[in-house]
Amino acid sequence: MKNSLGVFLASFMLWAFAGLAVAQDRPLIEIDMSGGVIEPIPVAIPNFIAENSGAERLANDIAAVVINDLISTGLFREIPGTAFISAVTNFNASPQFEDWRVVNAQALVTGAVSTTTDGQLVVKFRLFDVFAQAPIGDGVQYVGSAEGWRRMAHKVADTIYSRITGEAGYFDSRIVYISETGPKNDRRKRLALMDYDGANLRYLTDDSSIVLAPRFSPNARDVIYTSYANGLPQVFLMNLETGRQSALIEDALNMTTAPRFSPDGTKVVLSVIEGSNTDIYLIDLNTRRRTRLTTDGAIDTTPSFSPDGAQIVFSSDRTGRPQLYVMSANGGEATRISSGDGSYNTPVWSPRGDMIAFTKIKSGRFHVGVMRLDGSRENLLTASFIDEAPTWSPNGRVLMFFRESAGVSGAPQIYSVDLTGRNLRRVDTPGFASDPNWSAVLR
Amino acid sequence: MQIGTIISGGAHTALIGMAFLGSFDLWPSDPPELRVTEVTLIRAELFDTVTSSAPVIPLLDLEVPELPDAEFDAPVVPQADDAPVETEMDETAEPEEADENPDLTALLDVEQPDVSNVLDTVVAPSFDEAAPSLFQPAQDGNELNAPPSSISAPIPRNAPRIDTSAAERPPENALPGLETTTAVEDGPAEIIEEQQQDASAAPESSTEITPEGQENVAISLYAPVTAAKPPRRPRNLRVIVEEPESDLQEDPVLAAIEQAEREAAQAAAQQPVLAEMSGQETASIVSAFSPFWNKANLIGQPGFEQYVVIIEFNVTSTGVVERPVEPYEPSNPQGLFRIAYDSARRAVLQAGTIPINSAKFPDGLRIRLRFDPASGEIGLN
Repeated sequence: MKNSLGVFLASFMLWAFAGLAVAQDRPLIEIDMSGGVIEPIPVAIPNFIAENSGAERLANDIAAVVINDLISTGLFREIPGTAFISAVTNFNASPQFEDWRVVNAQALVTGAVSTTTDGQLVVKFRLFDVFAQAPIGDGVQYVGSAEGWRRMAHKVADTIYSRITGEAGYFDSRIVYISETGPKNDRRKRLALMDYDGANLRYLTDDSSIVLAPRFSPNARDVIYTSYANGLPQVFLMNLETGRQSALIEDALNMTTAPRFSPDGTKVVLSVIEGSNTDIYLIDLNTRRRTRLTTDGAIDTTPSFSPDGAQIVFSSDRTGRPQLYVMSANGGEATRISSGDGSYNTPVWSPRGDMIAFTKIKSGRFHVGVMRLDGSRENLLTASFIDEAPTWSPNGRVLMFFRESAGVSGAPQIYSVDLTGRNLRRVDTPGFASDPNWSAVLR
Repeated sequence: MQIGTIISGGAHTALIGMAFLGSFDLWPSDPPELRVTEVTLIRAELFDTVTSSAPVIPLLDLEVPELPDAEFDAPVVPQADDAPVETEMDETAEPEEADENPDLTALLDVEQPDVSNVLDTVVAPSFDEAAPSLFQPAQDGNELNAPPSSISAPIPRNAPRIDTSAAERPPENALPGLETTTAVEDGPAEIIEEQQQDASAAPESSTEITPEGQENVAISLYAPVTAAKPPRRPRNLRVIVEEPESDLQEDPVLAAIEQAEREAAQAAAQQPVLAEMSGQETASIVSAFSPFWNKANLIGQPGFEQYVVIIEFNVTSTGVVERPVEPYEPSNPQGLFRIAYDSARRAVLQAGTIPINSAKFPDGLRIRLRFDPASGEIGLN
């Protein structure tokens, strides 16, 4: 046995070295590439194959959601079905790569949908590199209830996105925001929840009281927000599964605003307004014990945890104009990181941990921008009459914010923009929308 | 005692008197009122402009000139008595008869000077000397080397003058040099026999140079072959040495491994030779791949600059890219390096055919491409 293995290994080495010798017959030239392009990757996604009679509609719908997810990133371009010269009729058959190469598809997605007798939905897909004529990873299959077909489609898109770009997807996620209706001087505000693409909208509160600044918990099961239900702005906590809500601090004398969860979900950091002073406090959700983190007489507000929970970035006007500061999650000395002209607000730490998004007001214009943790490489991504309240996608690639137009008829709408400043898109919502917050990818 | 009292009393009396009379400034007057002058800083250009265009206004208080009295000397108004008086002009008298027909016979008697009607020919001045001839280039075949006529010959520089006067004698107490030379005395000249020089070297000193290579070998386009790596020593060298040779020959595993190592040594000896290409040829290859190198997946990633990959592939003499397109560095790309490699591989495969000189590379090429996403103008600021 040992000898056989040795002979095999030796034969393999002979073959490998012989091949190497043949390949090296040709003269070698070493070249440094330059240039390159930044453009969406052409991807062909034919309709998924319905493997039984009850799955035709869902097969088409799922393919449509996958296409929409990928196209919305700005990194992919759909090759229209009318350009196809080849059809995928068998999920297990190898595709005719040359046919897809002719239409300039760089990636090909084939999928199939079936329903089981017990009402379960089965979605499976494969991803191919057309020019390499090879699959990109193994095929994947999802099984779930038919009601959750959109989530399954988002999962498929997340996997495709991850395999082509190398970073995690963000399509299977949700947005909580403030839905606004009515005229500008009598705007009604409700807490609303939807999928990242605007589907499955539902309202969490009525318009009897003003609500502001909703934030997801890390597991996306709870939402914390500011409500005027008691007459003063106070932070409330809502469980999305039960709908139960309660004031975070039973203290009617002080106003609390700008809450945000810690990465482990056990604490909340927020601003407490005491008289003319606003400071940042840390609330332990188990004991409801509060810890004061800032003690100066300035307005310290809009705190946001770093992904590791060790630091907090916040806005403060202690030097006269709102600027961004970073301090330990236990409080103490704060270091100013913003240094440009104008004022900075609503900082949010990136899920990747390498950047901080913010709102900047300069020369009467609002910007959403990003900077490094030390304040360097500030990059303003947008400019408008009002651009405010950025929130990161779960993978730290995209920012969502709201933009309000000027004038009496001006109203807020939610937009998204890529980290590079490309692919500015409006997110469809019924009515006006402001103050979005992006959840983590759902489990 | 009395004298002291008198002196002291007098002095005090004098001091008190002077105080009353104001000789001492015991009660200083109020401090002078502060005068605040506002100063405005202006740029030098503005200052120059102002001072050059506007008149200089002295900062002194000028006395205001007195206004002239309102009473002026009234201008002289012509009175009615001074009005012009109309007078008659003198009339011209009519010519008389003598003036109209004068008697001019007296003038005809005046003697007139003689005037010659023949014009004398003007004679040009003659020069006995010939006109100076201009420079004429030599007609000796070196016309092109002749200096241009408009440039005069350079003035010869003075030759260096050599002072042939004797140098001053050194002082008597001067130290002698450490090195002394012996005076050379003229002796009989040594007679050197002139030896006959042969054009050919002695047979034993001549070297015949013979080329080591074969005749009529084409000059290689490529760089010299690099030194081959020595074959690796077997790890079980001690075992091989200690064991009897017969046992080794009977072990097929060791024999196969030795064979593989020999092949490896031969393969290592065939190191790839580096092809030489002009910058234009290289640029044409780069431009063939560049439109297909999509950086979209990498740009925006944190630290995307570090994901540099090198891929390797063969190209036929007609420029057709052959599969496989393999990663060279890193050899097994993972994570975002794999994304960078996929993007690079897609660019190569999508290009399909690249321009290469088939006459120069009849066997095709092996290309090693380095993809640096930070190259070019793309990046985050």
